[in-house]
Amino acid sequence: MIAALRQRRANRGQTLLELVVASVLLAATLAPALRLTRDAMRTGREIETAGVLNSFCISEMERHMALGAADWSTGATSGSFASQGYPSLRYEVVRSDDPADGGIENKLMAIVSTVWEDANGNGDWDAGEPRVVYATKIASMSGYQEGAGG
Amino acid sequence: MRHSRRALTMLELVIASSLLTVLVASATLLLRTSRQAWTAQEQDHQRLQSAQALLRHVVRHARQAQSVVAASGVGEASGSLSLEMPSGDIFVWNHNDAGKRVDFGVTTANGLLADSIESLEVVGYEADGTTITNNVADMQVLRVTATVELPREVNGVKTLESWVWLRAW
Repeated sequence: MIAALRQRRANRGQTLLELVVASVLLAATLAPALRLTRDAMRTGREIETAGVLNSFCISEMERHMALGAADWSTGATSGSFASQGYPSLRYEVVRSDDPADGGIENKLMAIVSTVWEDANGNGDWDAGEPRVVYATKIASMSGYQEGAGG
Repeated sequence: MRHSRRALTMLELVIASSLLTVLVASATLLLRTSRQAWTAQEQDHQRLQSAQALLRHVVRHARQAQSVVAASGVGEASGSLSLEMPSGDIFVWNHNDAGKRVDFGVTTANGLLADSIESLEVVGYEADGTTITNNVADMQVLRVTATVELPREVNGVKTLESWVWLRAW
């Protein structure tokens, strides 16, 4: 009688143990797989954002090359890409012929285009927010300025 | 006693099977959801990549172009662009509204360049960079806008825009 009861308890324990082991194995296999998927998706989103930042940054630089060449106007311009469906992406473009910025007064203009993801929405770039910066220089072309009416 | 132990073992098996079924069903659901999210993201990514590749292609050639031969202009959502290249070839980009694609070719746009493009707008500007013009002889700056729809996102219409300054003048 006692032996039979012990045997029954042993059977119960063994079944439960198997179940627990199976569950643990299942969880141990699934957890890294899900973490891997989540990490891959996050990396994909980061690459996607980097591509869009890059695209907008080049676009702004091209636009300001044309604007600067037309009338040699200098200064900083900023804004967002909300109308394109990216309200969290902002840009700032600085055009300067100041030698301190790498320019030569009335001869060489430095153009720096910065586009970043303004994650905290404060309008400024903060450490940790992804950004792309492009810089170039253009020479003054009087013939072009005359043609542009500048 | 043997009968009693057999009945209990069966009960244990039933419970264990039920629990395992629940576990496997949950795991399957979890994996399926992950896979669906992954597929949706991949689809979005491909569409954005397609639009970016299209804009890069246009910008790269426009920088080298001798002149603008034709540009569809403001409000033309299924637009086109023709550029004369230094070799004398006419490079043509054309949006196919029915196929939601952009074709490209020399003289005639007859090869697929980018798909899943909802719209393509090409606007020409004068040398001042601010005055819109339809006169190709006055075009010194182009604004090329491609729109894609991303099914994963709630507000999934995304517009990618590229300005390009034509160096030849």
